[in-house]
Amino acid sequence: MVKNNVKYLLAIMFIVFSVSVFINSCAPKKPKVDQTAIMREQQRAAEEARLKAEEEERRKFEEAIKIEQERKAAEEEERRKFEEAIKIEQERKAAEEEEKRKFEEAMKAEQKRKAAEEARLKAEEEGKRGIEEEKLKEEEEEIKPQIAREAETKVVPQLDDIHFDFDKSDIRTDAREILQKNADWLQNNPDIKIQIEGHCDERGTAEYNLALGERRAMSTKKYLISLGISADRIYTISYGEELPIDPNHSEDSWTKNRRAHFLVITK
Amino acid sequence: MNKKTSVSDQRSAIKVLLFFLLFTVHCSLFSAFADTSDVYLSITKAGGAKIKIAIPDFLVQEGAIDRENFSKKSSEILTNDLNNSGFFKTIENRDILKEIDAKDKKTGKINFNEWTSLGAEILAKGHITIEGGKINIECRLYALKSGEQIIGYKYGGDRTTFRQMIHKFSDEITYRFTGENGIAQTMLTFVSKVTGNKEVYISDYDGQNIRKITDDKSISLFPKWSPDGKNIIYATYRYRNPDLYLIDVADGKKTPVSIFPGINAPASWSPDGKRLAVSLSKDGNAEIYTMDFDGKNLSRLTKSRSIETSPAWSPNGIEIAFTSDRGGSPQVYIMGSDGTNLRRLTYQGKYNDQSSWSPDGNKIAYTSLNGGQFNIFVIDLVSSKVQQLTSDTGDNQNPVWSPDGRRIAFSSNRDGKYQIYAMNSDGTDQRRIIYLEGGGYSPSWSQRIE
Repeated sequence: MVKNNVKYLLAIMFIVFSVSVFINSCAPKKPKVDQTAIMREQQRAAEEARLKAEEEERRKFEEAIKIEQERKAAEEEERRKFEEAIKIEQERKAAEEEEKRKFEEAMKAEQKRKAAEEARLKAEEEGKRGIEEEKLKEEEEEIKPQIAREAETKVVPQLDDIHFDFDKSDIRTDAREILQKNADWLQNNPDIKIQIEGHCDERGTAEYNLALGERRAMSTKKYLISLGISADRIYTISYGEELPIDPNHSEDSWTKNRRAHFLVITK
Repeated sequence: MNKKTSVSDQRSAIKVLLFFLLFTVHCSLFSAFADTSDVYLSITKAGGAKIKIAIPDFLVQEGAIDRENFSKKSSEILTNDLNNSGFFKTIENRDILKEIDAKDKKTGKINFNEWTSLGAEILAKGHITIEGGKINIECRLYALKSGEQIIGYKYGGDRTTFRQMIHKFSDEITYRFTGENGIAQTMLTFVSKVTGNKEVYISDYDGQNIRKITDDKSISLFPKWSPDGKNIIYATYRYRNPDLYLIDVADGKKTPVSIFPGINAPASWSPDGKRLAVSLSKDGNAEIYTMDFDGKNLSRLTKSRSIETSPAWSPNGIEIAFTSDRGGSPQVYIMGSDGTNLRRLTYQGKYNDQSSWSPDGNKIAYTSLNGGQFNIFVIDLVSSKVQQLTSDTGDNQNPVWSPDGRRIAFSSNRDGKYQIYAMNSDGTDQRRIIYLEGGGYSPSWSQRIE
């Protein structure tokens, strides 16, 4: 039974409390000036302003970043485009290069073909030429022609003519002996100067034979120099095909006419 | 050739009167000769058919010395010139020509119908008057179908220029009817051994009027006319070396051009006549150089251990053809006149030399050794096609083109000694034009010389 009593007591207490709260709440409230509340209010406003400024700053900062990013993006775009252009240019150049290379290759092939053709023709025309050319190269130093315009000349029995093969100016083996003999005589007569005349047979053009006669005279002179005769003592002249020793038109006369003729300069 | 101006001595009044009479007649003649330079092409036919022309003997004034000879010679020269031109065909029956001409004389007018009946389209008449040493020729051309005088010409000169006057008339006819410059006033130069030595000679293009212009008593080679026809360059051994000399044709004066030790020949004129291409061996072997006429401003174009000779300057001056044996045998090569762009031209034959450009620059004639004999070939520079112009007629060398490109002169030993011949540029109509006991070598054909 005690429990029931307690319940009642509690209920009464609750009602009293509720009524008192109700009355209390119904009583007119007196405004009360609170200094701390004002300060709090001010602090709050300041805080708010600070936050706002902060917010503004952040916004601005973000905006700057955005602009910067956009600028960078534009720059990036531009660079990309530039690189693309370069790439295209490079590709174009490469294509050009390729084309050029192909063209050059074709040219080279053509040249090679031509060279081969030339070589074939050359070989066909004269096989021995190469050897002769080599021999000429060995004695590379250029010997120039000399002339004796005011000279008088005479033939002496001690100096024999030498002969050449058709369209040739190299010294034949049979001519070497003669030239050695001529050189010996010149060594023994050191005051004597000689004139070498280069001659050709009539088979050939006058133009080409003029140059061929010159070549014969020069190769004879070179040979004598190689045997120790001074170049100052040897004058050369080509008569081409103009002064045949035998005017006939036979193999025999042609053989005689292809010659280097020696004369002694008397004055 | 000067226009005639005769001054008779005025001793008697009659002579003065006569002179005035003559003078007035001349004046009226001059005014009758139209001075147009139009080309009269109305008779020219298509397809290369030749124009038929009647040329009676020229009329020569009564009492003139050597009358018959002048009369016949003049029509002969003109007939030959016009046949040579390749454009005309002359009426050959001289008896009928004489007959109709006599009728003209009797009736005092041109009997156009009679002339036309010979098949002729044009009539060429000449009238020669000889006074003292002076010769005057009046030439008239008639178109027979229309019966009109086309034009008249008047030439004055003397015995030495008689042929040239007729040649000039021929070239006028050729020009008037074809629009092309004839070659009747061109000349040849060549070498002959008439005296026992090779000397340089000149002649009219038809091989007449031969004159010796050197007296070196040595060896003279490779004469070449200057483009203006006033000088000849040639090589001479007179001073104990093959030197290059210039000779003034008018006065025979000689000037050394290239006298380097060694060979100084052959040479070729630049088309403007200002420089020469020459083969020189002064540096050891024959190479091609270009130089001025005092041997200065030398420019070496080739450098090889082989022979380089026979330079030939192209008509446009840009290139030089020459012969080289750098490939083992003499062949024709072409390079720029500065020595660049060298290329080989001939591949056929084992011995090719003496190249000569056609006046239009499209072809090169050259000499080639085939079957042991020299023959003349022409290579087309565009198609590289080679054409052989001579064959089975001994050796044929040194081709040179006439300035109109229609003929080629050359030397041939087909009749024994080398002599000067000419043929059409396609090899047809080969004829000897000069015969000399001393032979004929190395011709060169001049431009028109007036």
